[in-house]
Amino acid sequence: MLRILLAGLLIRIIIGTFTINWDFLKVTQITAKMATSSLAVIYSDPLSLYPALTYYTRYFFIILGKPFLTDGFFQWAGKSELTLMSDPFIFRYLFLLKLPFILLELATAYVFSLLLPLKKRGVFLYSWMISPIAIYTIAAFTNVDVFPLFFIALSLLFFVKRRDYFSSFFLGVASAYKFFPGLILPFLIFSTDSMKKRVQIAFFFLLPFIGSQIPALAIPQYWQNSLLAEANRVIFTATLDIGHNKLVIFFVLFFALLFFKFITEKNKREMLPKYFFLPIMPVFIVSAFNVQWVYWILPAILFHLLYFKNQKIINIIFHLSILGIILLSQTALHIGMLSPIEPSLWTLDRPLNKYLGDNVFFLTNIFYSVISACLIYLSYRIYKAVDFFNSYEKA
Amino acid sequence: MRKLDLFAETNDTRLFVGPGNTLKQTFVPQHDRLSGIRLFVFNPKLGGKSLYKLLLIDNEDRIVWQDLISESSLGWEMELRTDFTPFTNSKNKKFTLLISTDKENNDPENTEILSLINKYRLKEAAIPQGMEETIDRVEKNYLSLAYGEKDLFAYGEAYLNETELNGDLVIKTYYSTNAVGFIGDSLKEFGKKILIDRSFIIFYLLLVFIITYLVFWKNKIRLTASIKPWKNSLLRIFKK
Repeated sequence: MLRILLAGLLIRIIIGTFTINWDFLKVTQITAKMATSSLAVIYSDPLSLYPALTYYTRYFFIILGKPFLTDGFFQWAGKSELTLMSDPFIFRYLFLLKLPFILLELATAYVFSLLLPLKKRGVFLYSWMISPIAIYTIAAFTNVDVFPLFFIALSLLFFVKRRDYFSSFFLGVASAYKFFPGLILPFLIFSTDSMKKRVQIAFFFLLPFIGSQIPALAIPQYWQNSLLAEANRVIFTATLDIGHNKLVIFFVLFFALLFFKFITEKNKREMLPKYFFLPIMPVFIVSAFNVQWVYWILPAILFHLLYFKNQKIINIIFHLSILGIILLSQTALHIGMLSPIEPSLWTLDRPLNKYLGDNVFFLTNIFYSVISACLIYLSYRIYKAVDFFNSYEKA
Repeated sequence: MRKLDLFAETNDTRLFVGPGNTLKQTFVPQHDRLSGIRLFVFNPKLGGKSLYKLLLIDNEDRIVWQDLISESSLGWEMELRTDFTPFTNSKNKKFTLLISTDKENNDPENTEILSLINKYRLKEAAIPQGMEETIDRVEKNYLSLAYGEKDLFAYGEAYLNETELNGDLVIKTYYSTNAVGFIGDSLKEFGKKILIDRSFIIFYLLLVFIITYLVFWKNKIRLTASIKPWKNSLLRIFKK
């Protein structure tokens, strides 16, 4: 398994050192300001979308890497984009800034593999290491979702090992990075029939979730840019008009149905690992998700690939649809990521638009629809699976 | 296809183009076949009919290209893109891009006010009290260009009329090449860039080599023996 992880590390440090993404760049630039500015100044930037813990963690890693970064790093972070791309030290900065993400991603893969039978772990890890989604979202895109998914993995591991309070605590930590892990909380709380235990589980969740945000809660822009940001509400966009200016919100509908199904399960404890992913699926089924969010459900996708080999065509179609969305998007999501090598690529317009015109939107919608279909089917198969990340055997 | 040659992208303020206020930016292309220029403009009169002249002058003071742009073709805040037939021998030759109002737009009354606005934006003058409304009216009548206050552009200078400025206009220049040339030039420039940070490259290549060796070496990795105690102590955290 070590060799598989090392192979994964090799692929990622080769790709990560020479790619950059607009999202990663902005978060780095905002985080770099923490060297001289308060949290209030950080959140005065309208692009400060993430909760405070994300920026604290990013800053911690910058401080860790400081002996190896150049003296000009903080000036570099404050420069305009093309100047930044043209800097000869950019490769050093990308390597050092991305290395914690890569290591955390490998650790996430390893923790999830511990929840599979021994004989499946190697294949699972191998699939993760060569997964285009993992390589794209973490090595190239360097998505902050690496933090919440790592703690979701820990939360699931502790739950399987019957350490529910640790499980809840780590789920709270995950939610303190990004709010989507909070979707799992109702299921974790109701996995037990004891009211006292439910309150305790909620408490251990809220401890890191609220605790990490205390320094920022008094900042009005924190509420505006992060907590109540428009980006958080994209999941509520898909609606059904039921008359009299009333709407049924599809996400809420599906989430509620999942919750009702869960609380009527005979063995909730055994079923809960599936509900670490099933409540997240509606985000991708009924909303215009950002393509990098697909990392959230990577373990479920790989599980399906591993256990339902005769259905891998669905996985292939899913991956091709994701690729289609990426290619039809702005340059920063594909070839523009190679801007550290050639800064011109950062200034390219959407390359396919001049050939496809308005058909770009139609095609993008088709891909989103296909992805919805794939994930509805995947969710069904996961629900029906006998074992889903609920085994733990000592190696 | 066009490849980026030079750029100045720091945008600190805006300088206005109008009667008696002509902006110039010189630049020295680093490649032959100069074929495109991008400026960042602000147009307050969407759908307006005023015209602005763009002139490109070579190192022998010859006008090699010119264009008239209308306010109606400009957005409020946008990158103005101008492409032209490539100039074969442009490398290391000084070019001057001149932006001015078309003759018919000349309005002597506003010349002084525009000059005051530009001096204010260059931090060379203050706006007298009581003139705010006039300033606002004039600013809403003319095109402005993004300008960076510091001299970060090593390949040229900016001018307001004949006065050299400390900073530079926000500008990008492009040259024409084919796909092979694009990739070849990119790799050449990448090679030059990467060799500047030699210590990192040596470390990086060493690391890649070591990991590759560990991954592909056929014998059992002795490394597992040395990390086993660490692995066991980490796993002890998860044990019952």
